Amino acid sequence: MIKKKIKIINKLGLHARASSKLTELANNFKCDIKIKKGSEEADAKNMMDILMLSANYNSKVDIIFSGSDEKKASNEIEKLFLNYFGEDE
Amino acid sequence: MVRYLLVTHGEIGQALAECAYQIFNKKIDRLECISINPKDDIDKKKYLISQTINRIDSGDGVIIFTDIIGATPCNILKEFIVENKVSVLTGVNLAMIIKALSSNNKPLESIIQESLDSALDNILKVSQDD
Repeated sequence: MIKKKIKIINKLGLHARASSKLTELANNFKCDIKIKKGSEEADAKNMMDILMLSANYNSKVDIIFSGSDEKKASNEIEKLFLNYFGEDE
Repeated sequence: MVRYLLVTHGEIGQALAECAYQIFNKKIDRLECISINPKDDIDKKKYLISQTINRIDSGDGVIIFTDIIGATPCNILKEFIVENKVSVLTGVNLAMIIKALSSNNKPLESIIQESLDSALDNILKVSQDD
């Protein structure tokens, strides 16, 4: 299991297009990927689950990867967050 | 794969479809729209709906989304309902469509239930903490 704490740095937070990109990427991996914000938990492979987290700019989430390709998944998903989901800011 | 059709008052369906295209960053061929307007010839619209269902159905079924129960779009759709093949869901919202479009390769009944759950889960009073 790999756990990463990530701060959301893109201005619009985990909004719809960002969530769509995250889901698309997460679905490329076999491992389970859960996103936790406080007591709320979402399946990273389920876009509406992610949106329900209402994770805004500057909020912190824990992402938990468990499964055979967890290392690759954690690296690529962390990169997506750090790249502002491909957005300008 | 299940196909989707939006049959709504005016351009509601088209607007929802365009929002979905923006979110998924691509045109989604599995989703089509038909507008119902006050001056429409209803028999012609029924014919168009029938033709569209037959054209888009790949054999896994069609889900038709409409906006409000009891209104013309919903009423004219009732005759197209076929158990386990063509289903009509009312109260369409963007959450419902996103959920359905994210449900690749799932069976018709499973997508229907997940879409309805998603639609209802997303009707909330929002607080500043959300």
